[in-house]
Amino acid sequence: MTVADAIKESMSAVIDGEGSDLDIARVLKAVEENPEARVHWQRIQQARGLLRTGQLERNIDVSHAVRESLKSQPRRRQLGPLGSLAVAASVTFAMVLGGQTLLGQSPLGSAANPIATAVPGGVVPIPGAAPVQARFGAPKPADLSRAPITKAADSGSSAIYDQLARERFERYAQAHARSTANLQPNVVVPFARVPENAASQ
Amino acid sequence: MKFWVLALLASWVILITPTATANPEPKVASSCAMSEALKTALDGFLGAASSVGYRGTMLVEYGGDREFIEVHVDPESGKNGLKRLNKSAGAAPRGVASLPHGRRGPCELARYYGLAIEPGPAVAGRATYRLSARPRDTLRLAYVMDIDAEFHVPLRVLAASPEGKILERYEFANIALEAQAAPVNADIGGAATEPSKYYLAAVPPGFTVVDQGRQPVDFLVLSDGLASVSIFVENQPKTLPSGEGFALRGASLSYTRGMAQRKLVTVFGEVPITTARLLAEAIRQRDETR
Repeated sequence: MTVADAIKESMSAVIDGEGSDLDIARVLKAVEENPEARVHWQRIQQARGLLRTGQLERNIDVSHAVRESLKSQPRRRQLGPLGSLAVAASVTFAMVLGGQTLLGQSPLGSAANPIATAVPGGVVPIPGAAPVQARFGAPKPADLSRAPITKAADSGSSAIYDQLARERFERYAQAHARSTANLQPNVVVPFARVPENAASQ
Repeated sequence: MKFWVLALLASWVILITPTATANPEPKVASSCAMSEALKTALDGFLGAASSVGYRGTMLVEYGGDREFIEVHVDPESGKNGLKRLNKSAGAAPRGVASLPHGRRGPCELARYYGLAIEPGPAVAGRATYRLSARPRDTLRLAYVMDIDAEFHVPLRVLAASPEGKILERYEFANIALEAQAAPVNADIGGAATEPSKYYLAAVPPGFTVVDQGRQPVDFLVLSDGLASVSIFVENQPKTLPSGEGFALRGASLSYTRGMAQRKLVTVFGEVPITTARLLAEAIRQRDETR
């Protein structure tokens, strides 16, 4: 028995706090009846928890508890959008809190974390971050005025993005070296910058 | 200081600075007033990449890390390679293949870098001259290069941030050079590939797109003649919130940013993070307006 795409979409919507009543009901029914759906549900909860907290969480399924909670509510009261959001938030909160409490510290970058890979060499804060003198000279001011560089980074996501940047360093260093070596002062040094474990990719 | 405060400051500077719209490009003629010695040195340096072969051992330092590397470069055959001497005993050299590109001329470099020449120290037992390239803005790195006086190959190169912090240094311990015939009919501009479905709404001064494609993901490659940068665009996972992060190794920066349009943009290259942010912000999908 496989997991239907519609069920997967409903799971994603619920985990993002965007699920409707129908989505929640569909997810709960699927995880109760379909073992593969249950595994998929646990996997995306883990992924969501990892992205939110930077920690890998244990397999905790609170869908049964949520179902019982829903059953115990008066039938005349249907869940509205806020109710759906609250249920999704509760599921996520339970996952995050439970995982953190039971697992202890599992910092991003550990071997247990599938996206955690380290770039060898010195990774240090970069100078040149002050954007005071940065400006385009290219003649498209209208575009710039509509899209200024004011998109703030989520304070909670910077660690994740630093990790993503390190991962992309390994993934793209070889391609960048190949494309640009003949434009740089030494044609071989760009390849020397490629981390050893990424050079064979 | 929070990123958004810096971003607001940057946006304010962009919007109110009259030169951003009125006179964005300095005139070539005024920037190209250089001595004959400097022009000759630049011509030699820019031409050496395609006309001089060499074999030697260099020390490369990236921040707190350093390693010795044995290199050989053969522009005539295009067979270049390197061997990391500190990684494993008896390792075989690794061949490296790079795409051909046309080099910028001295005057184009002089538009965006303050160039100077002076006598240099001996490096690997060879006489050099020192070529300094200091950026005229904060969008590129600075370089100090001790260049072989006879063959014009850089023997020692130091890359620094616009603020003067040294990011990377490499230097030959020994080197044997030979003049070669420049390869003819080189496919200047790289292999023909399917154009990326992304483009840049605006490009930082001096940079031009020199390559693009769609494998392994959509990418653009830009250069200003010394600095190079690649932009890779992926779909952003639905569960990933917007944000930014970076990793730095020596002069190479990897800057990854999750955009509101559910695109994950990685800017990779030898540029300051300021430039990477500008490029990430300027990326657009074709037939997209915003």
